[in-house]
Amino acid sequence: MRKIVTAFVLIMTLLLGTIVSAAASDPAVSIVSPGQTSYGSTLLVSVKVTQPKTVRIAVYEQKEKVRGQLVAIRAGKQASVKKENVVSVTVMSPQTFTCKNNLGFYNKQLTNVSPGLYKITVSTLNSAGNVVATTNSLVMVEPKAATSSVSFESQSALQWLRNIFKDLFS
Amino acid sequence: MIIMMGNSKNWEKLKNVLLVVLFLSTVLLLYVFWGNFSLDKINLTDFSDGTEEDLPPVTKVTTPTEVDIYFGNDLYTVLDGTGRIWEAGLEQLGSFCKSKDVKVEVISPEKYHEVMRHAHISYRFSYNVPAHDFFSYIGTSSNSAMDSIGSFRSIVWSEGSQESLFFNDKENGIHYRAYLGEDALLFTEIMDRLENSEYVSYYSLGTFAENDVRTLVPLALTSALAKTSWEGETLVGDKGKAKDYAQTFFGENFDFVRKITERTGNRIYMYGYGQKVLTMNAAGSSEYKEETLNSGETQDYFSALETGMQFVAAHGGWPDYEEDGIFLYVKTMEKLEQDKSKGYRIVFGIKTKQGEVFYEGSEAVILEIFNGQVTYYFRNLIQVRENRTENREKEAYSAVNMLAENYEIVAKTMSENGMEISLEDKENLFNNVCSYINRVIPGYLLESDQSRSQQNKYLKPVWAVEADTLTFYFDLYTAEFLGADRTVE
Repeated sequence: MRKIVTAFVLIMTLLLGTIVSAAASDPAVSIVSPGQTSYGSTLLVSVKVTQPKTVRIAVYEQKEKVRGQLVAIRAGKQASVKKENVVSVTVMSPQTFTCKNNLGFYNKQLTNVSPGLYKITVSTLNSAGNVVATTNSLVMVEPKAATSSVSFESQSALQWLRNIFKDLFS
Repeated sequence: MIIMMGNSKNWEKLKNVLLVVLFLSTVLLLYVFWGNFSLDKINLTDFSDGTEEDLPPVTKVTTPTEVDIYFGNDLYTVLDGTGRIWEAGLEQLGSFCKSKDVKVEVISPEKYHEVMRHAHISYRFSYNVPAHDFFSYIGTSSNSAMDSIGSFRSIVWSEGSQESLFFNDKENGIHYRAYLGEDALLFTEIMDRLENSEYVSYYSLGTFAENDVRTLVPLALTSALAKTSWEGETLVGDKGKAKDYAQTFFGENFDFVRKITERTGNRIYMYGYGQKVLTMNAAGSSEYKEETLNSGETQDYFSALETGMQFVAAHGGWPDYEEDGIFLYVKTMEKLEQDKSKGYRIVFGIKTKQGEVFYEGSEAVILEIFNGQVTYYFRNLIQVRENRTENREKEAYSAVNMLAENYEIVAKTMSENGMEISLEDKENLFNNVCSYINRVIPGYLLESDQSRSQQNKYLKPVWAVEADTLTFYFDLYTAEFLGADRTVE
């Protein structure tokens, strides 16, 4: 009986391990842009692939369903949104990129991007075109910050002191 | 009898007048043939296409290599420094120099970097421009505050301080801030206009290499660069032309010049014991060296540049954009010192309507000028025939993937040329290669004399990648590695 249980656990571990690895990200694929936050209405999607393989890239906006309406998830609100209310809206339909060497980049600039939460999904495909790994990344797009002025007061004071010394010793 | 006497008197008067005219003509002819007269002056106007009157002002050849526009959120665009954006920059700079209220201060590198984090316009030069001389030349009155700026490699306007212009003296590591009480509205307008127009998006290489490399690369580029035919200057092939060209250097001493024709077809003209030597290469270039006299007066940079441009116009002619399809601009400048006298080495590059031309292992024009005397002159100019059949825009190979696919060969070439790069560190090799790259630009490649074939004289559209002292070339549309060369010293 003990042997049967051990064998069952072993088989289940192997099986579950396979399922987990299928869902895990591909170490040869990394999303280099965007980072966690982006400002403005453009978004650079850059995916680095370090092995000869084919990947499929898609971008979705994560929206919250509130009383039948889809609403953008703004910065600071993501924690309060229930998972079951999140709906993915396609922003960039899946695009395929094949890296022929040991390094290749998929690059795409999205324009007219409105503020909200976005998900970048990169699926690694096998030769049959099936997904074998998925790499995801979330980015919060925020409006372009208003221009603030750089302060030069301290520098001016330093300059003023410098001028005094210059006058004293010249 | 009285009538006859009157006629004789008139005749005498006429003879006197004729004698005076003859005497004056004799004096004039003697002055012309024995006086301070040089063959130079005849030959100049006969041979040269570009007379001094046709020369562009020095501010037209002193242009930024590129103008970077930063919109924020890591997004840039890059414009050619010869366009209207530079004219706007000159106008705004002029208003700063003319104002008596302008103040100048030295700012810390940290403050400068803070300014650069805001949206900005940056005029980047590939050499340090002497500021005082430049301000004088752009026609502004001398301003003691602005005079405190020694030299600059770039001029920056930033949204973070709209009433200021920033000058980066890269050579000496000094950052200046010049400021007025009012905002530079012209730049605000330019920024707004550019942001709402169609532009090519650029990102820093560091975005892809995941480091802090600030070199900009276009994300996607459509280019009109196409295989274009060119012609070299026929200085040697045509005997008469060659003689005329040589005479512009030796003038009245030409009869005392030794002429040597080498088997290769090169011609050498030598005066004295090498005081003046002109070598005309069969492939079309020429090189002239002259003994430094150290007799003239010290010149500032822009006076030396004017002297150099006049010299080019007088010896071979200044290229005409309409006729030759190229224009010259100052590519690099460095100060020289020889026997206590100071001079300048000025390298001119050429641009066509479509882009910059990269000479493999050579340059278009090189001058060395000491106290108003041109002591070295290298000329390797071409005429470009615009390709009218193949001028549709095409998608260029992705600049980032061109580097990603070729970084190993780039690293190997770097290592072979003595640059410090570890080929064993494969994991970081791409990032390490990127850290050396300071420019990635589309342009034309003019192959070296050796690799040119007479039947196949075309300018090749390329990606030129400048990394430290090396420049790498890749086919613009296929990313095929074409070669690398060292920057001409």
